[in-house]
Amino acid sequence: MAAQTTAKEQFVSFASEAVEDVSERQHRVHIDDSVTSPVVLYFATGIAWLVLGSLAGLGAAVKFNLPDWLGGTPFLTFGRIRPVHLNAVMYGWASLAGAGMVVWLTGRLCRVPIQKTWALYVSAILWNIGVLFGVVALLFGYNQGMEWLEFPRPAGGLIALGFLFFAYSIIETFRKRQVEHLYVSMWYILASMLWFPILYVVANLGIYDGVTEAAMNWWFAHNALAVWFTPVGLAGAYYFIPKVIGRPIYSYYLGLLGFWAFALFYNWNGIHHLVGGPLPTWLVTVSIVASVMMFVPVMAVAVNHHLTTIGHFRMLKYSPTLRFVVFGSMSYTAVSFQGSIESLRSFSEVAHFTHYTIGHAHLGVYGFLSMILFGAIYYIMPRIAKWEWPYPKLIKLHFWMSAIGIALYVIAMCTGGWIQGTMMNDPSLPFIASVNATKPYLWARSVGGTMMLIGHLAFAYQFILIIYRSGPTRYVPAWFELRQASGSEESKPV
Amino acid sequence: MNLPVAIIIIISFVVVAGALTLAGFVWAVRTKQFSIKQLNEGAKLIFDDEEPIGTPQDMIFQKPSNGSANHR
Amino acid sequence: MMFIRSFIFFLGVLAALVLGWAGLVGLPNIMISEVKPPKGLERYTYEQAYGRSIYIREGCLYCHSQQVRPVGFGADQERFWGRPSVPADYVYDKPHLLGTMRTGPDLFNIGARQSSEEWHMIHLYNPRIVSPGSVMPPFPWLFEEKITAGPDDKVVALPDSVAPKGKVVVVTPEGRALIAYLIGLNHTYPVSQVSASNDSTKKK
Repeated sequence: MAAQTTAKEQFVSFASEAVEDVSERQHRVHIDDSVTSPVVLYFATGIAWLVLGSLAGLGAAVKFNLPDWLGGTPFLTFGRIRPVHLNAVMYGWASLAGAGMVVWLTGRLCRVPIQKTWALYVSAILWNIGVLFGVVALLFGYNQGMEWLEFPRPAGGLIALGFLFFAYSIIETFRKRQVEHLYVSMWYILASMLWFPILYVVANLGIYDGVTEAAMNWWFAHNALAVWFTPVGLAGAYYFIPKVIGRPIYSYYLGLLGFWAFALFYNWNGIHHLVGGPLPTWLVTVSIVASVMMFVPVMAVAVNHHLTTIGHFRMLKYSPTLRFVVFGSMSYTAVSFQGSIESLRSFSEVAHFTHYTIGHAHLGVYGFLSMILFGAIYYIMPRIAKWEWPYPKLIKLHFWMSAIGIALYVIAMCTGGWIQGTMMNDPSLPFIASVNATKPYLWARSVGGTMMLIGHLAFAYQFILIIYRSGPTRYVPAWFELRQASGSEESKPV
Repeated sequence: MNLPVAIIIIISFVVVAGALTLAGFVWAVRTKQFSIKQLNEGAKLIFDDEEPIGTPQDMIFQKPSNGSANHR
Repeated sequence: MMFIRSFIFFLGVLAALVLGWAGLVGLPNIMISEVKPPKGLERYTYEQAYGRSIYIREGCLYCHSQQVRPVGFGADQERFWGRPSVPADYVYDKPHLLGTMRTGPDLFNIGARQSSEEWHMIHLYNPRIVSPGSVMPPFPWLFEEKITAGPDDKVVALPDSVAPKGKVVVVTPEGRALIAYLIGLNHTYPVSQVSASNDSTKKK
């Protein structure tokens, strides 16, 4: 009892005292304090879009199983809630949660409080309004007609503007950095600050038509992964894996090589979405070559992440962040290898136009990116909310629902999709046979999607608890707990 | 524009870009942009005195030995 | 020195993006913009263009493609989905609707395969009436129920088991426009080798 009171007193005094000392921890806490509100805003709105997007996704999935379900209302037709799902989870959840993680990482990696935080608030507000406007427009049937670019121009404009304010804050913080050299995560973050606004604006100019517009469409969609979503995920993995384990990344030099190979090759992948299509052969071939060349940067990342983790798998038992992030980094290796193979003409002949593509896409944006974002949020929130996650059991529920859910999803979609493609390419079979063959797999997909939704609800509930500092009172924040446990002299609060 | 012209343009792009990249790399190595120190020490940037190498973080699922959340 | 390093970094990063765009979008655009519309391809009529916007609105592109793959690639030819599509076929298409999924069949030449307005009306009202096992959504809001059909109305020939009692189902102008667009999707006219440059096609 006495020990607990002491810990409580320590915690209360620690959480409330002003930061004046220049010790490392104080400095880091001061940086964390500077980002608290914007990061919580990004995370909270991102998680709201996660729940909404998951509901839309599940709805779309069930409509494959029960096509007449809620079939009388235009707002809920598959053709509208499917783009709602994609845009809500990509421009809503993944982008906003990613931005929150990027803000926090920038403070830590540049060792300086975040600059121009007002710009982050403006960014979050514009961005969310843009996504909301776009989603509502989609439900009413306003659709620009291109995948990943469905949002009407005003919504896209708000998102682009929101991103620019966000990038401004990050770059200003970078300029005021207190470090001699930049860690590898920061390279990915800085590159994406420059890349994404250009990409998004150019894609929304609307100056092309015909098949050139198709080339532009898929240059954009794959580059959105290349210049924003993947860098965010890799920046997180490069930081959290070594940080949580407590060991440096395996080979910094490989990280450097991997970054530039990534920048060089990934930008040329886009046309692999149009293999067999009405475009010049050389154009498609260039993208297939670039897609296969991605083995180089992906191997560099894989060596770094996996060889850092090897020998420390025991820590997965104790660290929620590590579970999510290692799952994510393994998914990155898997989905990238899969993508390189998928782009080959012989493979694409079967898999293109099928659910296989959908399985691959979800392994990437969920198995890789979203799992890393979950891990990042589990790490960051206690440090800025100054409150521990109240229910570790809910974290475990979230992890297992997400992990099993996405495994089920990807296996079902890739298997079903391959069968679908094989049957589609067999002219002795009527087309409907390829549809019927996928039905059991589509049910499995809905089960997987339901599990993921349950995990997200557990996550969202606990997120609300932590920002309101509810739940069982834990007087010992995560890092504080371990430092006390280590028994060193530094365990006394300053 | 037909195919041979397009291929010539692409190859020129690639050659020029490749040459510039090589030049940049050579410049970087010559002017010691990448010190051996940075390559060896760069991985340690995320650690400091308070969270040093060898100290795992985020042990939320760690079971305390006496049942209390405060210490091991 | 710090500034130069940052500058080189950002320059390299920017170059990666710009070169990618130039190779994948810029250069093809210059080449393809020289393609002339084929003689057999007409511009969309007003009604077809309206119908095309309905196609986009209802998200048809998420299940249907509009590109026919070449000989020896998949079974597009064996399924009589038309000759391989070429860039010239799409000069009037904005936005493009090439599509990336074939939950349903390719529609690039659906007008040549299924030109019956009556069939399309029943199919759009509820696909499972004419296509058992289909997972396509129904589009009842492209139709309306009336006690008696007007002189210009087109009645949907529904089987008794699904027809509403005491009423007739007629197609709305939106539905007619969409069907006009679908029936107009016919790219079976020939194209010369010069304007053809689709994937896997060898030039003469």
